Amino acid sequence: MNGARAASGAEGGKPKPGSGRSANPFLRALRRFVRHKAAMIGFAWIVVIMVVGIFAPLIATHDPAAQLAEPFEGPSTAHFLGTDDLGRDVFSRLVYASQVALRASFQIVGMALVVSLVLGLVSGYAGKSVDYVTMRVVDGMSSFPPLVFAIAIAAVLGPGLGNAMLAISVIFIPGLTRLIRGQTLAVKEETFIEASRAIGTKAATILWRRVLPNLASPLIVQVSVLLGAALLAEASLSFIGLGVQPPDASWGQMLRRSYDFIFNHPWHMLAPGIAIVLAVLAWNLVGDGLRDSMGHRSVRAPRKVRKGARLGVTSVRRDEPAAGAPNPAALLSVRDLRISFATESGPVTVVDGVSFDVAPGEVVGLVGESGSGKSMTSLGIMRLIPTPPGWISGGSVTFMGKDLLSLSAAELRRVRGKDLSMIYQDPMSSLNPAFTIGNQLVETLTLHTDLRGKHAWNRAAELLDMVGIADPRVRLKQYPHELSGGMRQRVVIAQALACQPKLLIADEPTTALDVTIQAEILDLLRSLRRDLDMSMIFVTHDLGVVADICDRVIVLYAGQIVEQAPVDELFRSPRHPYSKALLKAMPQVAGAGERLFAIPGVVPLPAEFPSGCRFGPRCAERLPECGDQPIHLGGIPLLNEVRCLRAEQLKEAQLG
Amino acid sequence: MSANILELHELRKAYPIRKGLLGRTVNHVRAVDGVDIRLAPSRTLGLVGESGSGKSTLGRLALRLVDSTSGRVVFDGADITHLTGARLRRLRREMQMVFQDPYSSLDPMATVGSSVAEPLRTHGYATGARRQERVVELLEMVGLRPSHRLRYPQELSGGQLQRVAIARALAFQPKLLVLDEPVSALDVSTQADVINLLTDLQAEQQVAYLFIAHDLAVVRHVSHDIAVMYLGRVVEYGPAEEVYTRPKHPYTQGLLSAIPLADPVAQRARKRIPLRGEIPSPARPPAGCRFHTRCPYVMDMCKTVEPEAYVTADGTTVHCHLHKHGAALAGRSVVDLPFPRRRDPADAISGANS
Repeated sequence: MNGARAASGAEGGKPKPGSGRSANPFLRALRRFVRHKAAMIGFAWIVVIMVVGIFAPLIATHDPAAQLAEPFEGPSTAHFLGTDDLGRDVFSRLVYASQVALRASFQIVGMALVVSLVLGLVSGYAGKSVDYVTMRVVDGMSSFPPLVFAIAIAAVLGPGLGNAMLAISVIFIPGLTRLIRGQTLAVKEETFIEASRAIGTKAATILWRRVLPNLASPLIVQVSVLLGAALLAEASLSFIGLGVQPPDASWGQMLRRSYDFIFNHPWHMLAPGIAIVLAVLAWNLVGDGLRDSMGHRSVRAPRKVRKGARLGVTSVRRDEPAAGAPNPAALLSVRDLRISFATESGPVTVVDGVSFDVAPGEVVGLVGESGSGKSMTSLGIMRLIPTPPGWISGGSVTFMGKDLLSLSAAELRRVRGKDLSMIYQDPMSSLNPAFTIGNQLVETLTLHTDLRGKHAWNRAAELLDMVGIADPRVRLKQYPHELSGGMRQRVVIAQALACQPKLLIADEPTTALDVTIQAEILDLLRSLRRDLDMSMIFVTHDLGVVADICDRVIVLYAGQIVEQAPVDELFRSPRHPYSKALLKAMPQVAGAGERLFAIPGVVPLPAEFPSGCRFGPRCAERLPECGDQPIHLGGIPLLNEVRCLRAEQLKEAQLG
Repeated sequence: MSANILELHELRKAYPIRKGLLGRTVNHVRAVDGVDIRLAPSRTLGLVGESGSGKSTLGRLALRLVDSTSGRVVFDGADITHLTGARLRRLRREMQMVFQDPYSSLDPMATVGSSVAEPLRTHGYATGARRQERVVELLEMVGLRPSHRLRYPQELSGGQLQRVAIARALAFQPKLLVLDEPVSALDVSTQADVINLLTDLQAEQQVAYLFIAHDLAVVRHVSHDIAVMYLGRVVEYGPAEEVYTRPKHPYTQGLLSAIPLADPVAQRARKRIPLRGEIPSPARPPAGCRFHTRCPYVMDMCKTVEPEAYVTADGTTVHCHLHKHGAALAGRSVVDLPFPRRRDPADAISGANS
């Protein structure tokens, strides 16, 4: 057994907030469901109906079919809810009817579910002609109004509870089948299904063990809502005399009888009516609760952060003001930026006191592994982190003399997209698939400039030309999906440059692209920067990209800057062990046949940042005292600094 | 017993493009268009190319996850091109796959242990405690702890998930593993970890790898041989070091020069071989040499005549006219050619013969 292999792989799992409990998705949903108050009320009511139904003979005070008293007696100690038109005890009939109501709804949904599961799973997974035939039949079934369809079936089969249930379950089949088929189609595209096929697992086993559990959540929600609908449908059919037949009691049929006497004894409808309403409501509450507990639940941010949170703008609740003053000569001056996030186990700080400047025309790289805080820093500057769960908890961001953190949402909108622009890793996420490239470029121009109509379109074509897109006039009329990935990223860059920003923040803009396209995009950005005299912040995990385009590099680790240096210097003589390790890990660096260098372990979660040097546990140069207390940045502030106790020592060792 | 674990002969895969109400086939996307490849036991063949080159389809064709249109797949000496049903399923124990995105290649609703046990279950390997022992063995083999089998995928990091996927693929000591971009979704620091693991496992388990990736720098480290694909064809195929350091095809040279150097000074001084534009649609591949629309050394004949295979002294097979015509490299590397002058689009159309 290779020791290094075991150490690096097994180290530091990724226990989610609130760990110690099982991460079984069903158990987690169950825990949330139990805490959902409204759902528990609904659930409790269904349990009550069940208990009443099961123990009906014990709870009912009278024989539900016996004619014991005068018709239409009022409530009394003998008859809690009075008697009906034949002098039968209403309370006892209600109690027995609850048995029918629940049994009927479970059987209806059960039958529909079995049929729909077979149809939906097979048709979704098999596809082709099986799918075509099944779905056309289902379409045919759902082209009738459901209740009329059920009545027609029930009428053909003849009255009676069994036939009514059959009729209702038939009308549930199309909807349920569509849901299951749709979910199956989605799950089928997941890589783990292809993996199962590659293993040689049989189709039936894949459906049962892989597909079914993954469509369980939407299905369970739908089933609980359908149970309420089934109850209602059974009551409706009984109401028109096609369901439960006298003398048996059902809520719908009781409603029907009292309907005949609505003018003389209107209160008589209350008991069965209320019973139906409450039962259906209970099922719907349970359905809502299930939906909430199975989906991704957002974590509640602290009250002070929630208050006044605006969509699309990160809230600022500064616990500590920025210690450092902004640099008036810089275009962007970030001081002691802190960004916090609400998690299930309380707030955590993901960006912890980051300070740097971007000079006019300068390209600054932010590098680090995932979890280092590089993307959060760039999103925080733009105030694009959604609140909740994130907020800016300290520091200042000064851009062209304005503190971005003090601006209102409206003021911020005037800066964003104009002087300050951003491009992302996935160009599709910044383009609207429903509009043409031209529409979207012109919209940006109209928003921030005086250009209108033909002038705006001309400018849009100029922009596409500038980013190296041939036939810009043709491209303007195309939709995003008609372009290749590299072409889309060019469009996004054109959009970001529409108003000649002073600063462009690029968040992994080439990570999703082929190396050849990456090289072209980097060439493009380099020439644009020269022509437009624009500054850039380049966020990337690839040091090769940094070497290609940046003037200065900021290496982030666990939410803090660990080293900041001019690019040549960082590559020639990195001072922080983390920077060194990142450089060493580049596959370009290792010689032929050499073992690649890997940094052991993973970036810790924000809740588990070590109190001493945060890189300490993964550091090859660690000394015992590195873990004692937080390490401060040393060197020339904002220009050439390093966060390492041993920086000087290691430098001498390197020289000597 | 055959000398090669995998042989692909003239393999093709065309996907029909259907249009209109009746779904009439109007054209075909020729994803893989006549590929010959051989892979010996315990060796690694790197397969590189841009997206759209057909490299992922080729991996799936080799494993018979996708049916080929024509050509033959020979696995361990047996022609498996038309194998179906239970016999194909049984074969899956010996050839496995690891996918690009570790986050989606494991069932989020199943524990890691259950995922690793899937092949054991499917092919009836022991039961109960003995099967669990094997799961633990496999997890330890890829450097994970036995307790990881109780975890769910969302609790693990990308690198750890990829280890789980590798453990699952190795359940029956397969002879062939197709790795489809196994590290490109990971951080650079984690990439190295997974690659070293794969190298160790190859030595321990005597498994052959078909390593598909777009990153030549990574491929070079794991591969004995490299095949460079462009528009469904292999344009250069030879020993890894030869391909990486002395590319014989202008496309390979273009791919190599797109990798940024780890040295800002050298990177600034470097002259990049321009690979202009994007890969053309595989539904309408260019006539002649498919690469001629983007080739900096394009000659007139490249536009009409398809280049034949040229085998160099170092054992590289290359499809490029430059070796017999024009510069007549005769097996030398394209890096020996004078730096091509940048053509403007007008030149490209008139076809200046440089």
